[in-house]
Amino acid sequence: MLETRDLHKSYEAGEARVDALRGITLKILPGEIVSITGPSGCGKSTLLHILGALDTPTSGQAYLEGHPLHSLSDDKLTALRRLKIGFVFQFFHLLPTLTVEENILLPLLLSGRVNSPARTRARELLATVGLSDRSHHRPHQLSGGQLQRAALARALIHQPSILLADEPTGNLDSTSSSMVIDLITRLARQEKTTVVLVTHSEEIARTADRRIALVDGRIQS
Amino acid sequence: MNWFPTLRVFLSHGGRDFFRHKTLSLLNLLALTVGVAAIVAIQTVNETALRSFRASLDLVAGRPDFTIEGQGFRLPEKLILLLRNDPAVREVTPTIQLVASLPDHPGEFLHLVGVDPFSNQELVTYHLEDALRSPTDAIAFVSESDTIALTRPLADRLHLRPGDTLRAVSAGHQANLRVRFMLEPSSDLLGADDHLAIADIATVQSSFGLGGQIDRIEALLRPDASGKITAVRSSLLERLAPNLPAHARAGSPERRGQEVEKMLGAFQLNLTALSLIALVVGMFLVTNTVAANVARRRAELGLLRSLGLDRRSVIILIVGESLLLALLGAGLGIFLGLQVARILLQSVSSTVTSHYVLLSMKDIIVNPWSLLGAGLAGLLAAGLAAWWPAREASLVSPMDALQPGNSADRASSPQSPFLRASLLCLFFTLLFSATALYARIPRTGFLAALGILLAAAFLAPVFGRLLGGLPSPPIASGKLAHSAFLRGLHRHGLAAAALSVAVAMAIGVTIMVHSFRATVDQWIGESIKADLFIAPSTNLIAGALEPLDPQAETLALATPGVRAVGTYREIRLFLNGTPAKLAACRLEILRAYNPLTFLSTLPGDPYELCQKGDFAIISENFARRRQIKPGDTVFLPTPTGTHPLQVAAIFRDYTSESGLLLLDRSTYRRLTQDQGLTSLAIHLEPGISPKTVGDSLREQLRPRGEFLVYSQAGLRDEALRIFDRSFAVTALLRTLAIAVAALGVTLSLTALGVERTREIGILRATGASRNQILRTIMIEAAYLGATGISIGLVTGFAVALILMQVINRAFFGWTIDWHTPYPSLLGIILGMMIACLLASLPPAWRASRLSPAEALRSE
Repeated sequence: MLETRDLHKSYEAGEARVDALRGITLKILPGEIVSITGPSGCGKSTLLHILGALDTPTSGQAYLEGHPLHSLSDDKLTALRRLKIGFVFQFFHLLPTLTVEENILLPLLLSGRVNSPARTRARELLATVGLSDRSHHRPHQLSGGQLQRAALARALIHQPSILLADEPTGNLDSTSSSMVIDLITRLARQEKTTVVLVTHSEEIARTADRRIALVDGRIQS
Repeated sequence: MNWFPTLRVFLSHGGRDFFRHKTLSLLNLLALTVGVAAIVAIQTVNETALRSFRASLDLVAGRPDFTIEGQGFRLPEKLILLLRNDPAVREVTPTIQLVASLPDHPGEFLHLVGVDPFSNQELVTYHLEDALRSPTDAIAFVSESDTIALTRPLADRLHLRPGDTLRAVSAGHQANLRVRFMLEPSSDLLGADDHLAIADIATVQSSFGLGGQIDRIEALLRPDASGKITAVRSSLLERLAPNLPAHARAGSPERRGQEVEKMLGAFQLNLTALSLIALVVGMFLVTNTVAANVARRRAELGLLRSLGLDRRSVIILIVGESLLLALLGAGLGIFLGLQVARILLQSVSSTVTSHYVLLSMKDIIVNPWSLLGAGLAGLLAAGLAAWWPAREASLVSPMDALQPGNSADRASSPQSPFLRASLLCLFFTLLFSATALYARIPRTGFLAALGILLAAAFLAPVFGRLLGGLPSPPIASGKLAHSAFLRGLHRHGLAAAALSVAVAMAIGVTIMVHSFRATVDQWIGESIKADLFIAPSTNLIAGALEPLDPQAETLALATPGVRAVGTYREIRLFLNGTPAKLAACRLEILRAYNPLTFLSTLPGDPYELCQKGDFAIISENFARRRQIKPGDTVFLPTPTGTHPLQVAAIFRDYTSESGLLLLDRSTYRRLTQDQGLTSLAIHLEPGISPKTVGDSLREQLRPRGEFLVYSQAGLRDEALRIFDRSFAVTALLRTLAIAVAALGVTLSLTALGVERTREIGILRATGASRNQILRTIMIEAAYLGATGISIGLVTGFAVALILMQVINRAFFGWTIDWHTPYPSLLGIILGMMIACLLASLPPAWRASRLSPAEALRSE
């Protein structure tokens, strides 16, 4: 379960202070698919980064399955990301020198868990996202949709309890977008993964179980 | 197009980029600074050496129109009259000079110059304080036979005041000299040796047994109708020639300075070439930084291109920006270089004195033109280094440049041009080696060395890819580092190239110096067999200029336990305009106790030939440099005429860079009338302790002055100490090049760290820990190090081969046996690898501390 209480996040930009989050309190249940929408600069990505243990709040609390994200050390946050969190980014972010299969196995490589069952799972995921024939290709040989499907497989390889997707269709055409969103929701439900989906698209937001709208760092009631 | 507004916009972005990536910018600046500093330091020290020598020469000789100088031997006084009676001569003044030890001031010496204060008024550039301005003083200086003038720094150092007495010893003659005046050199004689002392010529002659002898005659000539003296000098030379002794050299006074420049030429060229290596290494780093800069500002360039900036302008903007940074680097390099020059001064001064001419440098002399030259070299290097990445940037289409994405992802480094360039450099290496050895153009030897270094540099990216073909280490960081290294070859290739150049230079020089040292050491072991050696104490600091007290030989022969005494006489002279050493010793003693290693001989016994007739033995470098073989004739100008000497044999010798001509003592004395000695080699009866005899000789010699009494081991140590001191500057330059290369590793990884910020964010988001990021970058540095070091190691052997078999042979003509210093090479390899890992720590640490969220926002 994901939970935040009165979450605040501020940045110093020169002499100015930017309040990205202003008291976010929310609860996301296991297996739930939640979309976060809102205009640019409303704090969607910042909230996602804190939920994903990539960033820490200025004040307030955030819990992931009971782990206090706001007070854990970097090592503990890293361990949580390794075991419990999967990310999908707008710009795919695959490592260019690794093959598609190696990219998918990356989270397991970092935790020293690349073994035969892991490879089998990678192949299964590749088949699920329709990239079996692309497993030994390099990222530059793939289309945008294919890259994002590979990124999705990478995010799910270690069977995380939470999948965080930051504008996963922001760089895709409509056909690819539908395919990726369909995959995310289908795989999440199949693997009982909680999904937090940041998006600008109303249509994509509607596919979620619940929708949270942010405006100026606050949840719009 | 209108440049200035565009340049202003570009530079303002560049300035912001400079401050945003401070570490990267400062490393780049530092690389250039060190490169320029190395050149400035060496140029300044070289300049100081030459200027100091000329200043000392001017102080002694003034600035005459015409000079007659004794070549290795002194001149008869009667020549003064010959010159004075010539109608073309307006004024004539003689000088005599010697080096005297000061027994009451160990470690100090006098470079005593006897002058004629009445005839040298128009020539001298020094002032005798309170002196010689009034007739009384002039009379005192001349009439009081013990009066001398000292330089103020020496007087202060010896705590001497006018009226004090100073005991001086030369060639067994002791004199108590009274300090009467202080010598104030004029400001244009900056750098003159402060050991100089001036006395009346008669005082020097009578005090040190040199009656009727002089060293030089300076003359002022009457100009011809057109006011010039060139023609007058030529005709005077023609008139005088038939009456001059064979060893006298007459003509323009500039000649002497030019000869010294020629003598020091090879030594200084070596240092200059080495100092350029640091700049070459720096150039790779500038290319690397500019390439990184261009990659970071790709979108900015794309924007400018889409707004109408043409390709040529892109090149000019990028090169211009690099030049601006280089300007700052050059300024800092000049400042740093002058500080380094001060540190090197003493070492170079001692080396020049040991091998060439007496030189005492107290402070650096700055030549603004040299500084300007070094600064321009830095600018040129930066401009050239920036040109390639600027050209690459200009070729990118505006559309591509404006596309988002990781610029590092797109970089490619085609291998074949590098391989071709490497092979081309290799070809030039062979070509220039051949021209140095066979076409007798020694300087091209340095181009051969540069060729092999560049060949190695071009090979670095190719070798890096080969290394990347090996399996990666079986840990996550190892696999990531492996792929990151391969992808970063466009950046790492240059850092590895810089590293390979520095390592090759370090290894080449280390092998050469070690081989040379081992060869000399072995040669010393084979050729120095005597138990004790005696020489004047000034030999240590002023070179072998002060003759030994002849009584030392008599005393040694009479000392119980002494079996035989070998004598050695050494004169520095010019033969056919080329510097050489003339030496004489008792060949029968040499043959019996200390036989020479002959490389080739005439039929018969060379020792016997030399003892019975006008034969000489020459060193191998004398033979190589002059292309002489046994049976050929060498003409030796002496006070008794020019004597043809047939070469009886060629032997191995490492005592003189310019080559040695060795005669039997009897032949030498007969031909030159010189009875002097330079040192003694004493052979003891079996079972006699060298220490006991040494102590006894020291005791007996003490009243006669200050002497050096070396044991065999002591002389060996002293010879090797001089050897090590001679290569001290080389060691420093080697360290500078390595330091610049290590900077390159930091620079390359920092640049890639900046380019890959987002990628690091991805890894962190995917679960990479800080330690994994740190390890990944350090392993990547190890890949980089392994590439540069591997190529550097192999190339280092080739550089050593060129240094020993091409440059050494072309310039000096010595044989250097190959000795591989395995422990030192291992030390360099491990040291460089550790340096690479240490150099990777700052960027690795920085990357590992990046906030993942910020890193992901970095695009």
